[in-house]
Amino acid sequence: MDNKGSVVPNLQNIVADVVEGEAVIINIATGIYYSIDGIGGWIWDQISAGASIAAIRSALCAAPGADETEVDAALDSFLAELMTEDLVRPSADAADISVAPPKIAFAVPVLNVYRDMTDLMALDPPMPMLDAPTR
Amino acid sequence: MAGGLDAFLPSFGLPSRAESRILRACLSDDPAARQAAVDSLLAELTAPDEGRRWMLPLLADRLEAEGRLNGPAGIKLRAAALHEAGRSATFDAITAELAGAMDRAGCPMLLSRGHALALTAYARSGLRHRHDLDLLVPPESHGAARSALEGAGLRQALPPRCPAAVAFEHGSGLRVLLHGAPLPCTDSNLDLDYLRAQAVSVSVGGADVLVPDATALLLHCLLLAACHPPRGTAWAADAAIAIRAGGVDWNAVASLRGPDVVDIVGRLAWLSEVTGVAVPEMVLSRLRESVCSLDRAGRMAALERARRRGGMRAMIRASTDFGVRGSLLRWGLGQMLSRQTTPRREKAKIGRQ
Repeated sequence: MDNKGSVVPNLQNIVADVVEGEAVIINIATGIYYSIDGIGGWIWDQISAGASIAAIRSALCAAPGADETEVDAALDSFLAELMTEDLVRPSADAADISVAPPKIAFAVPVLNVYRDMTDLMALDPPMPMLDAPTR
Repeated sequence: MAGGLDAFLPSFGLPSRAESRILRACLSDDPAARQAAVDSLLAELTAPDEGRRWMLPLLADRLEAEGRLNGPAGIKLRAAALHEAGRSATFDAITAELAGAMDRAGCPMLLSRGHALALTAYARSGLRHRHDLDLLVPPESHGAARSALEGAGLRQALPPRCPAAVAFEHGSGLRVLLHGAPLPCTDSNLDLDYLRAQAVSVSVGGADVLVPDATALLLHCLLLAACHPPRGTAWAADAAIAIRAGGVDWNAVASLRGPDVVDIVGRLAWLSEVTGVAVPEMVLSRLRESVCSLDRAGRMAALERARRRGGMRAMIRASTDFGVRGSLLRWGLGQMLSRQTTPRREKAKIGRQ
């Protein structure tokens, strides 16, 4: 993943909600839903705020227990997974915002994938409004 | 008639024991009482069926309020709630769009049924799952209403479950139903003029839309379940939440008459007993009196409704409380004979032509 660029939530396809650091994301085209907690939830928050990959990487390296090599590999793999699932898309408009390190210890972020409600979610028009307030 | 209407219950299609447990989990005000229901319920949510799926946002809301929306089941419930919140926003936007189209066409419109309940009785409209949008327009304005809907890009769709409605499909895939009467299949006095006179205005997606008042919406929940085979817990949760939201004119409910009262009192008594929702005893006793005073035609109409929903066995069982078995048998024989003879007569007529 190019550290100079950024990715943004693919708002043409998803609705997402973050509560207490845990993100739940639904791909409304497929009906698959996802959860990300811990460091993964923190990364999703930064992506949603428009932070660049480089800024996220720097902040992660400063997290308790972080190892630079491990951060690089984990971040690349995680972002690639988000891209594969169509949850984020590349963006040329990385915001130049500073990112404070996470307060939780670094751990490899995990994208949990759930396919048990695809029929219910993808085949029930109307589809959710993508920029709807979630609560 | 026995006070409990027990003989009628099988024909009501009441929620099953498991569905009642979900209802209690969603409606109970006591977190401790809810715990047992929730624990057993979450195990059943691995693949929620359509009937139960729509309860998920409501359950998510209750658990979140108690800080217990966590673990794998919590994620499932949150996903369902998030999905429904997004759908609800789509419903609002389409409602506003259609209200504008109807207004420009000069069609008086009431927003009815599920979306009206979601907007007025539920704490947030996203807590109530719904499939279609029900618009109530006086029959004399149906021509203009159809033109307005078609002008807004909707196209006519397959006939809906309710044969008296006209179905359209919005570009989003949402089915929009145009009704000329609130409950065409019942005898209750929910006429359109009365509903419009009592209606309240709500703001939906930036548009002001009229919806029936709390009493009419409650009766709607109870009587719609009487018209159609009820789907799972929907009517029961709607009715319980409508009662809790307040504003029901209980004197108006208690003064209802006619065969529909069998359904109304039976379902209200069940709700009170199973979900703990507060239905004034005065209402139940006055409605029971009303059932007792039904004339023969009213009793037969109530039994016929039991037959439509639950078949002949349900009808015969229900008749035990009415003491009209003899009439019922004569009626049944008459029906059977007319079914057997009418086609032959028709055939004979066609043959002669």
